[in-house]
Amino acid sequence: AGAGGGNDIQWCFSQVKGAVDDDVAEADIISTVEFNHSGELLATGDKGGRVVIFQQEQENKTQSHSRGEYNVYSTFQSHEPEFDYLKSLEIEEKINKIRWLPQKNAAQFLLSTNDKTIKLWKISERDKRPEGYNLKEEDGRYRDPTTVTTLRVPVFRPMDLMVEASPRRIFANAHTYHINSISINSDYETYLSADDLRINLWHLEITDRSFNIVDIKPANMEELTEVITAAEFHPNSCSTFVYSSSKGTIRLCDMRASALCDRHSKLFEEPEDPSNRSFFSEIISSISDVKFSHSGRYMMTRDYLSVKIWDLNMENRPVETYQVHEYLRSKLCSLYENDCIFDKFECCWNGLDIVMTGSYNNFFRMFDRNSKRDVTLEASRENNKPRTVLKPRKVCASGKRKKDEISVDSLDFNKKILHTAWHPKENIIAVATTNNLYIFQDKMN
Amino acid sequence: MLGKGGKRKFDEHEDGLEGKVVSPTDGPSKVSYTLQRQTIFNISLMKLYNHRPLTEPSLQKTVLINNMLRRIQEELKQEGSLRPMFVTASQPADPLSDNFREAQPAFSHLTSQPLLPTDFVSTMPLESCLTPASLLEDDTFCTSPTVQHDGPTKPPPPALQAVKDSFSSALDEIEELCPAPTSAEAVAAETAADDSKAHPSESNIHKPEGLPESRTAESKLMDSLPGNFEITASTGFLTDLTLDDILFADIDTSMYDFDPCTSATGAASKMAPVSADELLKTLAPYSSQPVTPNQPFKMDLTELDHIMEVLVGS
Repeated sequence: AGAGGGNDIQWCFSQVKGAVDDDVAEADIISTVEFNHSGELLATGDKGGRVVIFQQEQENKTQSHSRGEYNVYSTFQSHEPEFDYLKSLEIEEKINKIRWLPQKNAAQFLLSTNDKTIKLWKISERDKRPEGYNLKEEDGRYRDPTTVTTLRVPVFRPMDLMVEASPRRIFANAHTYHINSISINSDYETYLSADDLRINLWHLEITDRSFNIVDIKPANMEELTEVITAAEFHPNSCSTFVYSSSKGTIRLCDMRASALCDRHSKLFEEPEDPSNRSFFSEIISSISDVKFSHSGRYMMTRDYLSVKIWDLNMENRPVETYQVHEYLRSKLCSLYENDCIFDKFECCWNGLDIVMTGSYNNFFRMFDRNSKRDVTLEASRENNKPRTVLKPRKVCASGKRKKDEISVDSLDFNKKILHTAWHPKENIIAVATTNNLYIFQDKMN
Repeated sequence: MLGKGGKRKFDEHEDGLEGKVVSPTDGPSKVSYTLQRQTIFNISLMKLYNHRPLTEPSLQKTVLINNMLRRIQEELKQEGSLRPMFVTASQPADPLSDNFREAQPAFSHLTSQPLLPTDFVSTMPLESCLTPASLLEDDTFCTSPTVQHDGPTKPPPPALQAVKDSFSSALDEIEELCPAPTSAEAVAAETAADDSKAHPSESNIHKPEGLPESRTAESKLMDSLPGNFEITASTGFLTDLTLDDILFADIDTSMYDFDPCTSATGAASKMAPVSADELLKTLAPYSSQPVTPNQPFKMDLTELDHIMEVLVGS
């Protein structure tokens, strides 16, 4: 999916999903967004433990100027709040991540996880039902067998489409700490789940056993200074995965090297820039997301202020660095105070040459690796006429504010875009604000 | 959670001005490195201990804040600051002139010993960041549960009577030097004065205490954090205590173990916010200044110098 060489994509508003009021119900806060492998389905998870799946309409051949719209396909309660009696603490039902399995048959499968438990859900369609039972009435009541005088073969008749979600596997009790990532292996049989200190390997069929492949818990917890923040399997090499840390490092591990991959095969770390050192250097270096490119040659990391592209063959520094909101560098103390500095922004690829990530004030940013151009766009209901091209936004860091620019002090830090997703094949993006999901498409024709 | 990071309005009056917020007329135009560091230290402590989540706090956040505190403590330790000082309050709502750089401490040329508060940090809200008098006394002290991690490293306070005289005499002296201190400054001055006047002989205890303190403080800190994460996240506030409660209550001395090798017990997690108002009321009898609570106090560094000289007994 990518724009043809160097042409800037013009993004247009397509749809927005979610409540209109400003008063956000906590349960409606979107916590993850993910397209499936074909892009036909788009799943969101929220703080209330629900998963909502949208399906793209089949393209209408006569309407060549727009791609199919996404409509609600299925909604289900994936996780419920639980109570840990040992610690007297609640276990949040918030969905941290959703990952789709590639489609193997008519049904769709996805993994969803909260802090402690991963579930495999099967989403299947039912559009026919059997009619003409011999022993049951149409409404389900049993017939008195003595009244049956003839036999018939039940037949399937069409019915209104019903989409059912059922939990097929529950992978529980393997994580002491909070799960931050799940990633399905390219073998499509195993997957990893990562919490703050450990990474476990599972087989999709087996729920009562998982293998610990990374453990960074120190013998003495008082010595703990670093945690795992994200992990992902390599898209092509089924024995390779990476995990990122709160100190800004990424480790690449090969499961063939040893059963416990505590020793990395590669360590990616950029030396600190001494001119930018501050009290907050460590915190802003903490990596909040790591994503491989589709080829697996590159990976992208997101830290508080920037997005970095790494070549897997070069460990000592990233090949590209893009500043997301450098104007926040002088505000770090306030952002530390109000906890915004701990916000975990995700990032995503179009697969090859454009990367996208969110920011504050409902802004999101895109960086074109080829042209080196970047753009800031806003997800807001004010631009909600379909096929209206989004106007680029600009934040004025200092000095005289030009017309249409926004000054740093006017930014709304409550409006954060943490989750974004790019359609695997087309220029369609899904951008989640606090409780709304925006879908943008490129302008066709 | 929502509610953090409130929207900041664009000030219409700043049209045409440079975007800088700090005006050169606001006292020192550049906030000192040490003040910044202290502010961050305070904020960090508050984050760790003010939080009462229903769910487990994020380990990543805890670890990062913990690292921040550790780094600052290391720095303070290296700078060898040993004399307890009062906490200078910062104005949390202001843009704290966030130009933090790891520059040289700004005032190292002014005093031989950097005027740095070490572990005597209050976990009270910043605007009432007044360390109780008792904490500033060398050996007389109290573990005011206000400060959860450094309190227990000191011995309990002896009777307050011995202190009274030095209070007034020191206060007189301070009043001469500082014509119009704010009430809080007066209180702080009193306590600092009391500190050295009452027990001048014990001031040299500070030096060796400095290191064990910070170590036990650190270990207490560590102890209360990731370790506790596994067991319970049971930090919480005790009920508000007035200074009277602290000074005259029967103090459990079992926590005041000076041995730097023993790791602190979990008692470190207790603390209580003592509001500045209560404190000022309690200390009012000792002060001839009218007590005006809620007056934000800024420690002028030159005044601080004066006081330091007095205390050092020059």
